[in-house]
Amino acid sequence: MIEIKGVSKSFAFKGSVIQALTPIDLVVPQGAFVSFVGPSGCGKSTLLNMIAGITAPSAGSILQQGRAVQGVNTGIGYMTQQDSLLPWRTAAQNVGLPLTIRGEKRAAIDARVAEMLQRVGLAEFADHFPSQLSGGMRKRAALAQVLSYDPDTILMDEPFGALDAQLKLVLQAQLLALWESSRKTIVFVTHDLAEAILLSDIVVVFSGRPGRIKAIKTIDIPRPRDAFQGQFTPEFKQIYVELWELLAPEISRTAGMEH
Amino acid sequence: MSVEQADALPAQVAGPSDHRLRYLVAQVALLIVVLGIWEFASGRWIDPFFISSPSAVVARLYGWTIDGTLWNAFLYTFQAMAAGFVLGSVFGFVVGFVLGRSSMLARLLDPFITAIYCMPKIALAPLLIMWFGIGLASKVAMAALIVFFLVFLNTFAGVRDVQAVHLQSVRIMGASSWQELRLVVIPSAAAWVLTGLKVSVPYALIGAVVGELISSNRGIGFLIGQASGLFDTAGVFAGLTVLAVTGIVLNSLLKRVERRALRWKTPSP
Repeated sequence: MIEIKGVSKSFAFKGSVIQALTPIDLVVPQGAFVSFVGPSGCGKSTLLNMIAGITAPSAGSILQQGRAVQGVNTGIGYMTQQDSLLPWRTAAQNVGLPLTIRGEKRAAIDARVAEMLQRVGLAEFADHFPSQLSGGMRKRAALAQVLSYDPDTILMDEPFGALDAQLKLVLQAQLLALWESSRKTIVFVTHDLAEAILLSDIVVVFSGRPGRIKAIKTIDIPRPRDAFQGQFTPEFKQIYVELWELLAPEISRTAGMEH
Repeated sequence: MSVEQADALPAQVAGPSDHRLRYLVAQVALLIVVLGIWEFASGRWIDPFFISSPSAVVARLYGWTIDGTLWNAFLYTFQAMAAGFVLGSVFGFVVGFVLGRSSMLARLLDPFITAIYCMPKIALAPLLIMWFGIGLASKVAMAALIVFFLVFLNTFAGVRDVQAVHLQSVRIMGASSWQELRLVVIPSAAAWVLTGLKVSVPYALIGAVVGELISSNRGIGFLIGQASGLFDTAGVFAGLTVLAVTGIVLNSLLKRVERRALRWKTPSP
């Protein structure tokens, strides 16, 4: 469980202070899949970085499993938007990296890595370096890496943002299957509303800058969900329309500010 | 390693090496043509006093080989070069690493390092000879000084080039600062350091030879200088040939090391 209490963030920029995030209160329940959606610059990634302990909040506090996050939060797994695989390690060595860091035995690491690569369909590519993998394969390797050491909470920052639509669907399906079998707490940042609804138990809609929570919507579409067909059900459409009406003015407001 | 390799048929495997052989043949042919023109021109179009001739150079190299001159001179120069290379790289790596990790020190020392870097190192040779004498030590110092800067700058850039996202991701996985260095900083900088080492080798040779040219009584540089003083063009070309061959051999060795160490940089085609 993650408790976000009165957390805000402001940056100093060219002599003035920019409020990125107004004070936010939010609870991410244990074992829930929670998505943050909002226009770019709404502070959703900043909030994720604060949960990860990479960025310090300007005010307020974040508790994970009841303990305050101070400094880098090693109790979570983080799948970043950027490629974070180490380019000089093979896919297998990357997947095993968190286990190596934890000082686990070589044999245990090898077994776990083989299992994880199998689960994300990369078994044949174990000895490939990231530069020899496609974008989708790198994302799958990153997913295997984050799952390999079994953190109870996983943060994902637009993990599938840069992928084409078909590949995105495939990976969403894999993530759904993996999550539905493990039920970890996941905080998932995306600007893709359909993706958020498809995957999540709870969708948190952010307003444009300065970011605040505009709505928290519980998605009660039954599981297991179908990544490929799920978007065509009436209940999905109904939720999509409802949330889109909240999100659309924020996006056009943000787009207007940028021009 | 790559998909291509897995799919490759035996017939296709012959492809690249076939190409290599063809280029090698063409290269040898080119060399023979150039040497042939040189040999022909010498004494016909141009006074051999200025350009000597391949046959005279080979004769000189043969003479030097027989009487041991070549081996002694080569050994001397090679020693200076190797010692200078090792010394310069070790210091360059350590200083580059420390400054790369400490922005404060880097900022403090930046103007001084730039000043010394911009100075033609060869201009320091007279000073080094005053300090270290005309023996091996001054040549080692010359080579080391040049190598130091190349390795230092590359190491520094390499350590600075470490991606924040890589550091962050291993920190979140719980890495200690030692693990951070070992798993991220050092391997990430390694590509730069290797490049620095690779470009340093010919410069170490330059340093050693320049030192010998300015003041010495041994080494390939000395042989060249001496031959030039005696207007012995064949001797000068013989010395240069030895340097060229040494350079080529060292370079191809280093290329092999680099290719092995930086396998991860080559994307599959």
